[in-house]
Amino acid sequence: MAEYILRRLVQLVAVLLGVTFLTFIITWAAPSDPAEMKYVSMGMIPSPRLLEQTREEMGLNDPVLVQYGRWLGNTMRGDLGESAKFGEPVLTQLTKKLPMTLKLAGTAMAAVLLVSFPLGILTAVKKNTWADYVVRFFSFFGVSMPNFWLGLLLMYVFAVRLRWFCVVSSGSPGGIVLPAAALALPMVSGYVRQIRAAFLEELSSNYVVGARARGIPERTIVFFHVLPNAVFPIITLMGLSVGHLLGGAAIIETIFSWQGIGNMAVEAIRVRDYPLIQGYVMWMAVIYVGVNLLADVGYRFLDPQIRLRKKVE
Amino acid sequence: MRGKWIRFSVFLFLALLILAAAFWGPVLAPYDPLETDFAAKLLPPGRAHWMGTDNVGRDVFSRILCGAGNSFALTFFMIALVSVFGTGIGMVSGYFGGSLDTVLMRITDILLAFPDTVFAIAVVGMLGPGLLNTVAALSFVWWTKYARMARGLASVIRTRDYILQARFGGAGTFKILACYVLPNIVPQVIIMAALDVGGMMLALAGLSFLGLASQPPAPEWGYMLYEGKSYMQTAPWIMIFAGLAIFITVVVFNLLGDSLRDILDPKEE
Repeated sequence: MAEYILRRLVQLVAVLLGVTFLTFIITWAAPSDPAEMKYVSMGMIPSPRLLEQTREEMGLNDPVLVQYGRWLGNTMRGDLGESAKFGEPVLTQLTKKLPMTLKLAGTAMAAVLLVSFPLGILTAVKKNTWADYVVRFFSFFGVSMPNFWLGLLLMYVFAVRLRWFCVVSSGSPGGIVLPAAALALPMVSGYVRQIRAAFLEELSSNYVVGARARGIPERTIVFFHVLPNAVFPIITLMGLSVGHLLGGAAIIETIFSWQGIGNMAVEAIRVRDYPLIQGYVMWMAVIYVGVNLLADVGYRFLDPQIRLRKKVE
Repeated sequence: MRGKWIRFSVFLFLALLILAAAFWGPVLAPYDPLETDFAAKLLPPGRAHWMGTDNVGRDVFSRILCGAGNSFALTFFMIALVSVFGTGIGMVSGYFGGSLDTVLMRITDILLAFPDTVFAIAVVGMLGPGLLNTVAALSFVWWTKYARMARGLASVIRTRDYILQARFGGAGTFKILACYVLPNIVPQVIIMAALDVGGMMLALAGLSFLGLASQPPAPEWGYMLYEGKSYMQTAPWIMIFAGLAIFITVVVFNLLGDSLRDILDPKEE
């Protein structure tokens, strides 16, 4: 186990190095001159000589790898540069906006699990009945539903027409309901399918047949014997969903004016706030990779089949 | 067995219908999609304008028909690009193995560390909005999916007896790859590509919805949704019909992909 975690951590460091390098390269390749931007943001047009001098001072004439090394050093110390739009360090801006996104993503994830587990179990236990067909029918459409359209429709029906919620979600009571629903609903489809498949596989295994033969009630079998086993594939799925949530949040937050990190990123793109975009991308990748590592390790730690096999060996 | 083919035919027909509508859209459209008419702005759906008009009096139905062509051309181009490139790299990587394989797979690891939309947003954000940058942003991550699949298949295929046989028969590396490895990967690539059409369309529409891809005034579905958002209170039909067009198209192509998989890949059953 410890060896596995160590190996994964080494892998993580390699991936993170790649991630930071790529993030750096995107900015480096951007068709704009940071030295020029510095003066333009101060409202002056620099002479070519001054520009050249500033470039030298900012180290823009150094080789790429040297620049990357310097940037990485700063990043490690938490210095991600200054956001031009908000006039404060990128890190401050990110830590200010991140909790809102986590709140939205967390609520959406909780909603997904609360809805899809009962539905998934229902469709598996009642396989090939009308209940199964109805849920699968709707879950099929969920996969094809653009989340931005769903967001607009929810907003139109519940905020514009019925006036149950405010059009601007941030700061209004119950404002989280619509964006979380828009984020969660398309995901439910995938989860219901996976949970159904996991349950069906477990239900056809020998220990279930054995439990049935011993006269254990079907309800007990489903909830106490099958459920703990069927949870494991879903842990992996949850790790992968984090990427979907963080990416989807950018679109959904824009629709509902939710003051999270995705909304901030789209704003940053509009005004070409490069350090902020850079910080955003890097942090999203770091969070995504970190969560997936946790999911993988947690999976191995929780699953007795893997844990015990190691011990036997 | 026959049921599969019937399902496939029905969905293929529907998909061809949509493609035909997209292809002949400019001919079928009752109005010029770019023509503004301020006397007829924000009209609700009616006899003259089936799906209403937008804020500058352009016919929404005509814009949806003409926008379809752009959306499809880009979607298919992107799928072709990432599937050919990804499959090629994955196949070579899996067949040869060794350090080349390790390096290539670590690269995909790094690219997969970025949540897909986030990376696309970043690339477009840095390089600036525009069609070419959208293509770059999405294909940069998307090929890894095909590369991983092709690599997995190729690394299994290379140990098969018929590859050994071919080598004994004097076949060169290129011939083995082209004639014996590739044909065994292609069906899986086709299935993946067919199932990807819907997802690619959604990704492209999502980017233009954020105002990062297509440039106005050329009609494009995602951008129409973006425009329609501002007029949600007074003219909800703009966003309703534009979204419906995306939704129906994605549903049909997802169903087509599913039924194609049922035919080509009997193992799934």
